[in-house]
Amino acid sequence: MAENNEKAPLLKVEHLTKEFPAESGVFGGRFAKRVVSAVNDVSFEIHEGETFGLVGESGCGKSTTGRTIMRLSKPTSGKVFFQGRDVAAMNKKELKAMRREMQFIFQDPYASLNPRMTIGEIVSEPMTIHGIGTKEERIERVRELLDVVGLNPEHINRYPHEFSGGQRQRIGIARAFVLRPKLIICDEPVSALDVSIQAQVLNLLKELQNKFGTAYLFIAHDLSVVQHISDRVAVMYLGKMVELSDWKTLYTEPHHPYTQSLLSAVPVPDPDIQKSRKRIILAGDPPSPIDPPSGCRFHTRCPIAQEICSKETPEWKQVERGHYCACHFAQKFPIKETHIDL
Amino acid sequence: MAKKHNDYVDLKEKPIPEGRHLLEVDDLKMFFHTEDGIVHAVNGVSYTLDRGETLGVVGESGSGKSVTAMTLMGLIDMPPGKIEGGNAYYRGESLLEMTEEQMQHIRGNDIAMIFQDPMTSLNPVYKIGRQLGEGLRLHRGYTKKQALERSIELLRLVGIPNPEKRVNEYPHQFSGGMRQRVMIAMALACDPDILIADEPTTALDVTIQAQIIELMQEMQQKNGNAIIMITHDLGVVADMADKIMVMYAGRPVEFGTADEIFYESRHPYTWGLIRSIPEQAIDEKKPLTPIHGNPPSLVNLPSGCPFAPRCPYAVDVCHEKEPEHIITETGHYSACHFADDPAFLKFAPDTSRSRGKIATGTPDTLATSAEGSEA
Repeated sequence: MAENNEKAPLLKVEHLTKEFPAESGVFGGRFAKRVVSAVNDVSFEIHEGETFGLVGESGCGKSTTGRTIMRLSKPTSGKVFFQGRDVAAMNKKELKAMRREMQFIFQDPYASLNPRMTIGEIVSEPMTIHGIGTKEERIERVRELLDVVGLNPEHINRYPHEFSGGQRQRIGIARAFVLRPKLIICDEPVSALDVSIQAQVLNLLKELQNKFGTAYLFIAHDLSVVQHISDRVAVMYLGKMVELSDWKTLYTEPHHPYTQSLLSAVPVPDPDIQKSRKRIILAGDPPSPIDPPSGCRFHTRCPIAQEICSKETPEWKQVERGHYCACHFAQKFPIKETHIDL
Repeated sequence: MAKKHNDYVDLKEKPIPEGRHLLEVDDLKMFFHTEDGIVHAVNGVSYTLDRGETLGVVGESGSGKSVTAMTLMGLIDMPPGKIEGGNAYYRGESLLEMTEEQMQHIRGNDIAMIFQDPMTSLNPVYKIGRQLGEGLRLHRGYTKKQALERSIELLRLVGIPNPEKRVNEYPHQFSGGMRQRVMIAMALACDPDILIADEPTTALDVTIQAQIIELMQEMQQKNGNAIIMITHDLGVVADMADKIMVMYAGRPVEFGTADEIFYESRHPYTWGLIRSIPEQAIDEKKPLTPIHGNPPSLVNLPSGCPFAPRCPYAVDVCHEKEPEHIITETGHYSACHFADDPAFLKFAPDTSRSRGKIATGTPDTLATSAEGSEA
């Protein structure tokens, strides 16, 4: 857990910003005047063996954050330190070495496995790329790992189409773990799966973490899933991080009005709770990340917005130890019995 | 396209025969005959529905929840599909025995459907207004102008700002949530008796999902229509449904009121679903209790109870004999051999009610435990 604050963090993200050109022209949009502000000034740390959850709605920049950390795309500005070294400044060789320690699990278990490769080839490919072990050793390791993730090692020569969605996600997980990385970025790893299978995969991720001590950056839109797996959780809205704290505080004492409304919008599988609780229903859609709203990016939908919110960008400040929030009116208690009309 | 027949009497104007329900599905069976064998897609589905009620149909992908609805709407190609038994009655008339022409009057007019993906279920080359007005012109014989006016009203009703302008726009100019609102407006255009919503919020973000659910409930209160809500999300049915049917491998394994399903469930599959969901805001993190294995193929169904291979409580009889529906006086049924065995029902999961901590919306504080997680 996050108690080892004195130790240098495994991953440190400082003022990360990623912008994409909003139009593509002859020069690939290099001279575009308008940009999509996908991630804006995001900072956080991940410690060894910790699960850091990143939640938000589609288009909030959570996946871009993950991809930029791994340098699948280059940050516009800001720094990403992995084991003390700046990822943005790495050359190709250094990047390759870094990716031995940092792996990725993708959302879609159908699209992320090459249909022409056997699962043995898929899972051992990272070892082949990094030149680890002899062929026999690799096969041995793959068989071992298949067993760990709950697949039959005898199926090593089968192809992805012979497996169900949940089993495919297990293959993707085995591939991510084969190099024993320090950090795995999980981008919506269970959102394509059925509930009963989802629970299997979540338990597996937890087991593997206990076994190998891997840290996770867990990106998802489903709050209950993130809460279940994470030690600390950050909430993003329109490219900005709005709140960060340990999982329990975030769910019991959310400060930011967006976090509060997000939590209240999640349907709880319990009719009594559902009928008795108060809900904050946000009006409208999230605005476009091209020309995002001035000041606080949430002010256009915020039920407690004041004049200042549209003018000044709220500061990212610590409200309690380890609990950060970006709101001019960050407060502990839920918004008063609000029910905003659509 | 069928023309509006002026002598045609809307079925929804017809009173429901005494002692009957708005919609009665009785042991409906629909199988697909494919090269690989017979797919038992809908296997003995029964339920009743009245006006103003909401039925939640829950199940995992491939459990037959959508196919059941599409069978009722006559949207399944026959062949490969074939009705193998049972019937479905709408206001006392069999939906399965209607001609295609009669069904065209039913679809959109009496029973309307909202689909999961608002991106693909609107035609990208027609203006919103034209698509919205199509049903009105077809079923009600509205002129172009009347249909456009009504479309604007409908858009306003579902909370789309500036409807006079938006009615002349194309689907790509709308966001996902807005498109789903358009779909709802379209489904409600002819004031249907039954609204079938097939995973209407699955493609949407939670804050937008909350808006859409709220909108559907509001519309239901206004119009008194019945809703069939098909979803994989138990949270959504807890929010909306009066009755719930849980489906597994083409079969309804449990049916009852929302309270019966959540607090007095009598089927181990329902228990498994409830246990699979991460509990929100608890003091201690426990590993989830997943259902082991994968759902069976609908071609080679296991003998006996289809859930037996994954059921932690299965005994010999479960693998040998297919369970009958065991029905209580309230109509709550469960397809489990042990559904009326009090000793067996003790295995049911703890729910907030059985733990005696009816929630207030804030997290419970009953469980005492060290803070943080086990990780």
